[in-house]
Amino acid sequence: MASIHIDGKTYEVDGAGNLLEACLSLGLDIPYFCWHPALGSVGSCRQCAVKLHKDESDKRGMLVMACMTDAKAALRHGPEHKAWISIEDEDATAFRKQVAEWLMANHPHDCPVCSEGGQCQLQDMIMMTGHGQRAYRFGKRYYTSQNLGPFVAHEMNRCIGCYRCVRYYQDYAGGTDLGVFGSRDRLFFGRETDGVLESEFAGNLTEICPTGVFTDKAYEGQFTRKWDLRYGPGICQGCAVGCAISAGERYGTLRRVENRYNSTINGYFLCDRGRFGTGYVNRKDRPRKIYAAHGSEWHSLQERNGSEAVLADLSTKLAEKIAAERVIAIGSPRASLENNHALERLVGEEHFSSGVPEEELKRLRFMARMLQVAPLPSPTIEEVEQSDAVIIFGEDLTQTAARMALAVRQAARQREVALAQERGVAAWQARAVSGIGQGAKNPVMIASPAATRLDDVALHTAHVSPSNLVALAQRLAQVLVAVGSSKSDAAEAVLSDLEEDEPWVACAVRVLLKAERPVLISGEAMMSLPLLEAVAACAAALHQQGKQQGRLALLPREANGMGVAMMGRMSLDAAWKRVQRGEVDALLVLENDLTRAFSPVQLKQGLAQLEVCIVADHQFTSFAQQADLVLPTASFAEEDGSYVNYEGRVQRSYAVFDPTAMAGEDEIRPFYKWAADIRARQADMPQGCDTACDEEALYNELVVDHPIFAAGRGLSKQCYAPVAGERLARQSPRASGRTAERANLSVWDKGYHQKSGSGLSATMEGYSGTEGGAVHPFAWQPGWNSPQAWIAYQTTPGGPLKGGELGVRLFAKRPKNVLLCGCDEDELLKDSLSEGGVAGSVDHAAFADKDEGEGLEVVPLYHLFGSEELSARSPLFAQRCESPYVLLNEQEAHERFGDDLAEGASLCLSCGTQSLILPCRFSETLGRGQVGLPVGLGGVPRFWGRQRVSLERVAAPLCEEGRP
Amino acid sequence: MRALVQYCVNLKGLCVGAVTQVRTIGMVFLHAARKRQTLLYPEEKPDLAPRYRGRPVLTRDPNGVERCVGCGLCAVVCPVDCIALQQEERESGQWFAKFFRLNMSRCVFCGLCEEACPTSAIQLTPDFELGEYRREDLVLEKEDLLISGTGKDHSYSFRTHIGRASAEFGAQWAEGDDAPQSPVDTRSLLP
Repeated sequence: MASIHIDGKTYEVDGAGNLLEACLSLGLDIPYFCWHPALGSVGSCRQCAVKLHKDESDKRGMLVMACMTDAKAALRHGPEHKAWISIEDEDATAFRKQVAEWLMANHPHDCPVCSEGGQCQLQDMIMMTGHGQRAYRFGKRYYTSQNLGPFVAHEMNRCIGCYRCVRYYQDYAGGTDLGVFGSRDRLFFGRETDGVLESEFAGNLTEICPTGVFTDKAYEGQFTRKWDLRYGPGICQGCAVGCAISAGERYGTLRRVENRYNSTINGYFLCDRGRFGTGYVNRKDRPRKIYAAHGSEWHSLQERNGSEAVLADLSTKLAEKIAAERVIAIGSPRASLENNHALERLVGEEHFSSGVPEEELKRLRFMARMLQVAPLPSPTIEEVEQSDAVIIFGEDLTQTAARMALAVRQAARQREVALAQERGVAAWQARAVSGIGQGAKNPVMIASPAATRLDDVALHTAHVSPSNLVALAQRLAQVLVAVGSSKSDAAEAVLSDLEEDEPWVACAVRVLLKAERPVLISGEAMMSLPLLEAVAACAAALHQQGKQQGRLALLPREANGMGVAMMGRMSLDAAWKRVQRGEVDALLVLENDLTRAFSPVQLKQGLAQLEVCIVADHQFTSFAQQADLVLPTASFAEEDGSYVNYEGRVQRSYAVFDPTAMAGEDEIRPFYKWAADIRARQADMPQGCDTACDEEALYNELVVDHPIFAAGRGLSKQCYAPVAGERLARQSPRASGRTAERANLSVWDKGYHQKSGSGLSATMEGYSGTEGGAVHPFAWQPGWNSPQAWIAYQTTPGGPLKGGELGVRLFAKRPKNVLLCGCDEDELLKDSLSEGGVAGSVDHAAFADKDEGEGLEVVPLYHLFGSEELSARSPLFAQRCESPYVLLNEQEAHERFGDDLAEGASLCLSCGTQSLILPCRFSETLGRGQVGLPVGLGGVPRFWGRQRVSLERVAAPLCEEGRP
Repeated sequence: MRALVQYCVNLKGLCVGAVTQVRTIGMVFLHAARKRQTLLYPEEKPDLAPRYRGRPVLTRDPNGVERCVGCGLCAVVCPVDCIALQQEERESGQWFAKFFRLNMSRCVFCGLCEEACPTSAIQLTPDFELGEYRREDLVLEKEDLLISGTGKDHSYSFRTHIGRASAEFGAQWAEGDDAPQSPVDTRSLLP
């Protein structure tokens, strides 16, 4: 530790980072623009000037840019490792004020009509510098702004030229279509021409930009000031990464999703699916009341006596069916643990299915098992960012787990940092680092069926069919073991032999042997258990090589896939078989669109056997439309719930708003409340018992039945105010309109419903400081209205939160004795984990033979916009979602269907009795004998993935997605 | 000697007191003959200053376009939180209030909304007759608040000073006479 004297006060600092970081982490305010914790310093805005003195007696000092001054150098500057700096110094203050005035010279006076107003770093910094009156009274330059697509709005006139946007977009996110044009004071940050920003992480520009040049278009369509939003600390539902988000509500609709900083997972950035894909919460066509289909017996009951009667009837009937064991309940990997468990308790565990198809469930259980027993642990996103080699098997990460793709880009960039550090240049010296690095990258190796969005940072890509992918991974494990056990000369000989025939494998082995912290990534994308096993075998081989720092990431598909797999219970196929066999009268489906899992014929067969089909969902999915009764459940924004992400981290997502507050008619409730209500009626208990609906109590009930989740107990302790009797405020202290927002409904003020037993207050009343747990509904500190306020919550800028890590990793200690219920993983793993098994089982030829099988192999493809069920229902996504297609190898397509086959011509895929008619597209990277099919996109059912299909050309023009 | 002085002081006080009382009584009687200050309200209406803080209204700019841009500053400054509004954006990029609700049963006529308003849209007028028979009628919506005139501020137009660049108003970013006539040519690299 060293001491630093700032304006006469002495502080202890550790001397890491630059002066700006040191001052900010001490809680001292220095204005800045071009510096950002995730981007480092370039010293271009000249705003963070402070005075550095030689020693106590030096009255003159010199002005330095705090962001460009190494704290260590500053300490060395003075005697005895002490530094004297002054922020309040007259010269420094005048300098900063002057710079602020320059920056503001061309900035328009449009704060009232700017959607950044109220959360604008420029506003904050101008207040901080004290530049209140503008002397510049001449004409201002103006620009023609661009249309950058449906997500990001562009208003170039507000630009202050800090360069943070291009540094983020090009350097950090690897985008190529946003740049800087022009010269001197005519700088223009934008695209070459109007058009949609290509990067999947473009939404982060809205938070990176210190002012209102890039703003959130989704939010602008329903804009309200940041101080008026009611925030809920949520967990993104877009994929299995589980990024933390702050979702804001006003007048009963979800307005915006912001990044909620935490160092382990999402850091400062979200993907566009997470940021813009929550429009489904506000859909007008959501089920808002109990809905009984015409023709069902419930309908007349509802017409006569209302929802209450339906619920009473449902409770008694369900009780009868449960007693007679003629009921099946189907859970969902997109519903929270609590909701799934409520359903399980309602019908009994023998009648509960996790809602995941058999094969997928096997893979999920394998992944869950791997979290406990794999030789290498699962990495956090932060660990992926810090790794020095990444090998990806089968995943197009940018489309399936986008935040991890961004982390992989950072892993590649870490090479530049490492090179700079070898030369004694700190990582925050952004320009120096890229100058030294000259674009050097850590190795990223990708093996996938077709081109991926990460190919531009990849050292070596191999485009192989899914089954060859398995062989490739197995081969890699085999060679790793072989090379590891032999001497270096012999190993080199083996590798150089491999160079020609299997260059990818040879390269991967070299990369892995050289790396200290390699990460292997695979997942659900290829729908292949052998692939996961083979990748796990690679991890085992790495472990054997002494790469204990290595990590193995296996990615499920949905937000809570890992959670339902850990709950065990039967698969969706097993449940549906029972339905089809007529063993069941009543079917209860929770937030699961079965049309995506079964063919229409299978569905019809099953539904015909049923007396009643009840769906509880927050969307009118195509399956809910076929149900007799729909219970309106809450979306993530309206309920508390726990989710398990890919690394086995349980995280709790908290409700943003009460859907009944603004529209009293709605009957939307979390499913666990519906279940509690039904159970209460069955047991003749008093109705509406809210006691069991406190989130911690619900979780504890879950742990009683599923001890595997025990580590997540006490998760609500991460969400508390460090002041006795206080809760965490969910609105800013200046939220407005509370006596008017509901006045059109009732002139008598009604307080917002405060949930009992929650650490969160629904309103502004409560604690909004930086202490407490890891959960903070939103970032705001006095003088810091922009997302830059997160600095106050961090121990060091860009470092961990003061409140610790978000969520709890279930297998941090990797216990060996907890077994997943009803799953024979040990059998499953026997082959893949014993090295002998791996070495002996690889047979290249066997896979080659299999390729010659009949028909073409369907390769599942994914799209960030559209493949995920819920976000695809967001109205805004309609402009970014593609329509379904089939992807073919270009040469093969012409060989099969003649040279006149053009892109867009209709092709018919058929497999058994199923067929799909879709337009075709060509690919140069997809291998022969395969067809790429974007499963999930536009409702293409997932069961098509990995089928063998025959392909015909149809003369008919493009018709809608074909169903037999 | 001291006793004599004391006697004189007391005597003076007595005389002054007596005269004051007589004067006061006289003034009271004089006022009885004067013109009345109170008004026979409601038959007679008081003459109030334009700055009197009564009924809030939403005004229009000299071009007849509603001034309110829905920025929310009046709502945030309101000490009783009686203003709720929602901004919306026109095709042209202009902002306006989709709804603007003012709960008059809460309003304390402090005038802070008027002070905060950057567009002179919300103004407090000398109308104080706000009584209603139903409480619900005290909740004023934008239709109830919007008047057709400019209110007290006859000339100011925020939208022509600074609007989002729009087809309707042209790019009005530049203020002043020496405003640039055309947008920046971003493809020029000339010094």
